[in-house]
Amino acid sequence: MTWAQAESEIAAVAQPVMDDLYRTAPAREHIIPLQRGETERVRQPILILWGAVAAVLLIGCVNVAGLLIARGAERAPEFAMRLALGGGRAAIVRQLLIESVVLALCGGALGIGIGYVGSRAFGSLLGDAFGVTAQLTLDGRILAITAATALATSVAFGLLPAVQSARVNLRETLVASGSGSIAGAARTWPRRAMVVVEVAIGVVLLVGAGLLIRTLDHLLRRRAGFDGTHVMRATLSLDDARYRTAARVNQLFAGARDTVAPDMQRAVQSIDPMLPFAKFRTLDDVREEAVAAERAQAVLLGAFAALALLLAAVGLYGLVASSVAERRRELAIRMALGATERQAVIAAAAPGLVLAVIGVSIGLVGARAAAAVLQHLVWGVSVRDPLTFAAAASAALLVATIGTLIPALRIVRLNPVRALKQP
Amino acid sequence: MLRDTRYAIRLMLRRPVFAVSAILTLAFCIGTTRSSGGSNRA
Repeated sequence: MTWAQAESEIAAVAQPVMDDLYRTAPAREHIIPLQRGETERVRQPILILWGAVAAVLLIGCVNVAGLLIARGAERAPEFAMRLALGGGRAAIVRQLLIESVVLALCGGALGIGIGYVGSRAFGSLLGDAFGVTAQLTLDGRILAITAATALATSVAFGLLPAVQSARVNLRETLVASGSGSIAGAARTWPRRAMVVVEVAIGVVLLVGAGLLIRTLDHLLRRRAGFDGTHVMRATLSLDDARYRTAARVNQLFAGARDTVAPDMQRAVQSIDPMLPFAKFRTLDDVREEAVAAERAQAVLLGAFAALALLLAAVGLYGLVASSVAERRRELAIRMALGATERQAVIAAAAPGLVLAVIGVSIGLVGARAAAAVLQHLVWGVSVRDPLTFAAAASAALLVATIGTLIPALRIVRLNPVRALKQP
Repeated sequence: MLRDTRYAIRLMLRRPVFAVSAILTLAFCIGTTRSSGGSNRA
């Protein structure tokens, strides 16, 4: 039987009943797969979390690609020499791809360990967020997915640096090798673009996490209309033939009403020792349980946003550090000609800061579009909440500034005389 | 292929800072993918 046949057969049976039941608001039956029905509630949060995970993976890969590009630039004389001796560009690309596969396999192996520890540590959080009760174990499927992820990322992000490195200008590189030439802007633009993308993704995640945290805050602060501090709640099973009438139930509660916990249990048992008495909790506990999913989602997305931001800052650090190393000679000339240390630091840090500002701006625009996805998970705060956007932008700028300034401040220790004498 | 792999490993060992930072970055990212990938197994 096809899906359409099942749908039409069920419609034929169910529609008259539906029409009869919902006369004022017409309804239509719809069949969905059992698995989808069972997971409907957690589908969207899981997809959002996977989006965050993919973003973190993307930032990590972009960082490694940046490292590979910088390394390729350093090794340009080696590649030029290989080409001069008759080696083909394809051999260089293959060599570099194998290097990134080796890196990815090492990273993947260590990543499995980190993932194992992470799933142990965050197991209860995942349980709260998605109602996962199954034991999370390391099995063949997970190993295969991890290996596939590692290989796919290494090929996807190793290819650009490999091709870029193999496109080396033979004569220029061999002549300039060792003379400490000033880095050209054209060679670094892919790395700059990557850093902008990293910062932008970091801001999008940060805004998402911020909105979920504000939602949790709103739910926790929301006044229930009563003081739940000293109010207890318990569940009684009255699914018993003796409690079919309201009078009997009233009689039961009248007996228990005036006594408090732990006397409450004794009171109920004194009236009926056969009655099961369970789930004895304060209303505050009940409330905490009700927001457990929101809390877990906010914590998870917050952790991913923090990791993304840290990786973006590391990416900026790497870019500025390698740019400072490449421009050592230029900065030494500037200082020899009278530039102060402050001016030299600004000259080294400015490109990084400009990239951070561009990244944050693009990230804010992206976050505004992406926040629509969170519409159903955000309560009591607008998905365009200016405070959250401003806080995310400030946090990203602060982290990016730190990531940029640390390598730029190395110039303070630069000795212009020694730097100019070095080849 | 084997020769290229051996050369890649030798280069990695010669530049430990680069290798460690690249491997750690990948490990953390793949690790988070794996730990939340497990959540789908309810």
